[in-house]
Parts: sequence; structure tokens; C-alpha cells
Amino acid sequence: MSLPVGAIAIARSQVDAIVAHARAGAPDEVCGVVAVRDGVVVSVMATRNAAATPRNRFEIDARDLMRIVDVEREGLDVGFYHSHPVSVAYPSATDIGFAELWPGALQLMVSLRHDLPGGAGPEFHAYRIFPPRVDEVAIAIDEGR
Amino acid sequence: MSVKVYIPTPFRALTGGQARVETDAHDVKGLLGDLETRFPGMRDRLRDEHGALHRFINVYVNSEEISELQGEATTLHGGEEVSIIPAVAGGSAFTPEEVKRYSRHFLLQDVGPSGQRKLKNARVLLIGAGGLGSPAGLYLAAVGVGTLGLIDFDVVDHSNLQRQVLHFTDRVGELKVESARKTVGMLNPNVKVEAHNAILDSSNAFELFREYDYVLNGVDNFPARYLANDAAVLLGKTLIDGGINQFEGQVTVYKPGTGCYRCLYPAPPPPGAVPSCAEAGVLGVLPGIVGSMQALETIKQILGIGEPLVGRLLLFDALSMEFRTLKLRRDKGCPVCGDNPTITELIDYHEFCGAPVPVELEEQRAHVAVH
Repeated sequence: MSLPVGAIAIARSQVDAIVAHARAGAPDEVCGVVAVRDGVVVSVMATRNAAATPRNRFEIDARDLMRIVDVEREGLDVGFYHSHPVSVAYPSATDIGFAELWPGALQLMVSLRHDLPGGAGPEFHAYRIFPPRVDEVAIAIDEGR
Repeated sequence: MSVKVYIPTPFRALTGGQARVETDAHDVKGLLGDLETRFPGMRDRLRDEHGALHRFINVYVNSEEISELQGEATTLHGGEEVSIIPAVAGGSAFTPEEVKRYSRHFLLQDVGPSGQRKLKNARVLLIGAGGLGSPAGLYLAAVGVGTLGLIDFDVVDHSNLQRQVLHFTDRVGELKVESARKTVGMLNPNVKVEAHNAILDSSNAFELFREYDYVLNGVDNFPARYLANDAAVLLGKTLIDGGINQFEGQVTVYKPGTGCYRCLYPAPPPPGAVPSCAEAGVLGVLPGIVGSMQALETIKQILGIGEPLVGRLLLFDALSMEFRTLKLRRDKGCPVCGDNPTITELIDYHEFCGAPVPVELEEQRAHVAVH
């Protein structure tokens, strides 16, 4: 049961929530789960990062992973987000490797590398990874929500 | 009463699309075994080659992960919901500190992040933390070799400071490996140092060499040279060799199958024929150059770039600034790396180096050196 590779619609408030989580966690990586119905992001849930070195790794805490079951119980599709405090908002070799466990899942990424005074601000992208292939997914941000 | 099992999306191709299946197991181990039997391919997703559950597979009984319970022995009474959820993880190979530190590597096409990863994953053993081991250790640490093994039994002596740049005046009297560990730690804390305060000998060489990908020779005596050579050949390890003598230096790379030190020097010189640095002296900067070249050749091996000094002996004359290379060939009659090896175990190298040299071997040595 995988979604077609099409555009994803997300609310401005949801993007802001992800960016806020990333900023709060910097310089560590942060992560979370998103719930999607028919290409529209329905909810965003911040999770804890249980990686031993959160500066350059993330792993959704085992206690928060159960959210996935709740999302699916409601008939929604599960996606994820994570941040790269200093590198680009593109899946790293490590990200692609771990995507073997969740191939095709929506992966939202935010980069804070230019999120400095005078900089261009946070960068937000979406992908579906079928290792080793990375497909970028277009994002339509609904400014009204 | 049966137990419901939640199957995560990535595994549903194995269960014919079912998100939930039922089973009648008494514990988690039985439940997983039942799934593995019913759904071909499930076992590979769940377990590693030793049969243990992959670290990245989380199994929950109701809302508790089994590592918080009794693992696979967790009992099931019926009515529970067991959920299998693969970990969600990722990250970058390098910390922001490393990205800054190695930025000049990331800019090089022949290195880049993938090359830096190779350096980070490499394990290099330095035999000796002295004249050659010092510059080699400094540069291997600087470039980010992930693990540096050091074996040396000596303590820092005042007379070392003229050339052994891993050590400092306030380290005199300290174990060389500990002094080296401190210096490496100051230069690049990302490097893991495995210090072995010991003499390399036939009883520990194999065990030690096995742990590393490359061995860099910084020894200053013939028994150790032959020992390191034989151990490297017998274990199939690439040995990056270097030697110095007053104003001359030599560097080469012995890769398995391309020849070894014995091909070049089948027998050691008679005792006393070749003086050590302590006896004859050495220009302080000379080991700096040779040891740096050894580090360079090691880095080239790790990255797989450039043309290595395999099959070539680089000779350097510090006074004339002349560099010469001699071709080296594997001697098919070599007792350790030849077609019919007679040396298949490590021997007593002190005895070997103390014995007089047979005439035929002396002639052979002269022949090889000129060629």
C-alpha cells in the first residue's frame, strides 16, 4: 500500500512546527512522524531522538515508534521527518542506507545550514527513497492553514 | 485466545498485503517463529546471519518494546497486540566539527565525503612510535584515519626529541605509546588510538596484525624488520615499509603477492655491519620526510588513488636531494612469499639475525640491490 509519487500538500503551520522543532534541537538532529491522507499531511508529531550521537545521527525513540501503529490504525499513511543542522536537506548515504527499512516512505527533511542572521533561512524538501534511488517529491505549502 | 500481530508496511509484501495477522504463540519467540514459517522471506527481515533479531527491528507487546520486558522470552497470554516496527533512523557520517575539520578534503575530487569515510573506517597499525612512527602518526591522525594502533615498548628519551615529533620535552620518561596517544588526541580527538605497550615478537605479531587493515613499519632493527615482514606476508596484510640511515631514506609498499622484504634482502646483514641510529647518528628531519611518505602511501592505499610504490623502492638522498626508484620483483624462490614457501610460521628472529650469512645469499643480495 504505497502512495504514488506525486506532490505533497502541507500546511504552513505544519512546516513551521517542524522547523521550530529542528531549531530547538540544533545542533542535534531531530526527528518525527507525519500522517498523510491522499497526499495531504494530516498531522505532524515530534518524537525523541534516541541516537547515541544525535549531533549527526537520528533514530526515532522506540517508545515513540508506536505512533506509527496509531497512524495506520486511522487508515493514514506514515511518513517521517528529520533535520540536518549543518548539511544540505538531501538524504545522506546513511539516510539512504536506513531507508532500506522503510522504502518509499515520505521523508521530509529540513536543513538549517543557511538558517542564520542574514542567511536564506531553513530549507524544506521531501523525498521518497527506494535505495539507492532518491526521488524528490514536490511540496505545495498551504499558506492558509 | 490468539494474539494479533501488526505487520509494518515494508513487510506487507511478504504477508500478501495483510496489515494484521493472527497467531497462537505462547511467547514472542514462538510468535516470530510462526511468522517465519508462514511467510517466506520474513526470517531474513527479522534476523541476522547468527539468528539474532536485528538491532533495528523493534517488537512491542501492546505498547512495550520487548527489550523492556523479557526479550523474545516475553510470555503471551492471548489477547495482546504484538507490533513489529523497523527502526527509523539516519544521519550524516560526519559531525559538523568533522565537516569543518576535513573541509579541504571534501573539496578534493579524489577524496570528498566518500574518501573521508574510507579514512574514517580504516585501521592502521604503526610499529614503533619513534622516528618514522612520529610523522606517520601525526599525518595519519590529521587526515582522519579512524583507528591508529601503536606498538612500542620504549619510554621517551631526551635524545629522541631531535626527531620524534610525537613527543615533547615534558614527556621524557613517559611511555612512548602514552605520549603518542596524548599528542594524537590533541591534534585530532576523532581518532581512536589503540596503544600497545609491548615488544612486537613472534608470540603477539599475528594477533596484533590481524586487527588492522594496514601495517606501517617504523622499526629500527633487523629482527623486527624480518618479523614484521613475515607476519604481514603470512597474514596477507599490506606493509608500508620505510628505513633511514644517516642521510638516506627508503620507502616502499609490500602488497601481498608483489614481493616482500626478504625478496630484496634474503638474509640480514652480519651483526654490527649496519649501525643503528644510536650508533651512527641520523639527521633529525630525515625520518620526518620518510615517515611522511609512508603516511602518504598508506593514505593512497586507503583511498585507492594514485600510483602506489608497489614493486618500486624509492631511495632518497637528503644531501643531494636526489630521488631514485628501483624496480622490485617478487622472488619466486623467496622462502616466505615465493611459489614454494618454506617459512610458514614466525621464527626466532634474533637467532636469525645473529647467525652468519651464507655466501650464496650475500651474492644474491648484492645482485638484487644493483638491479
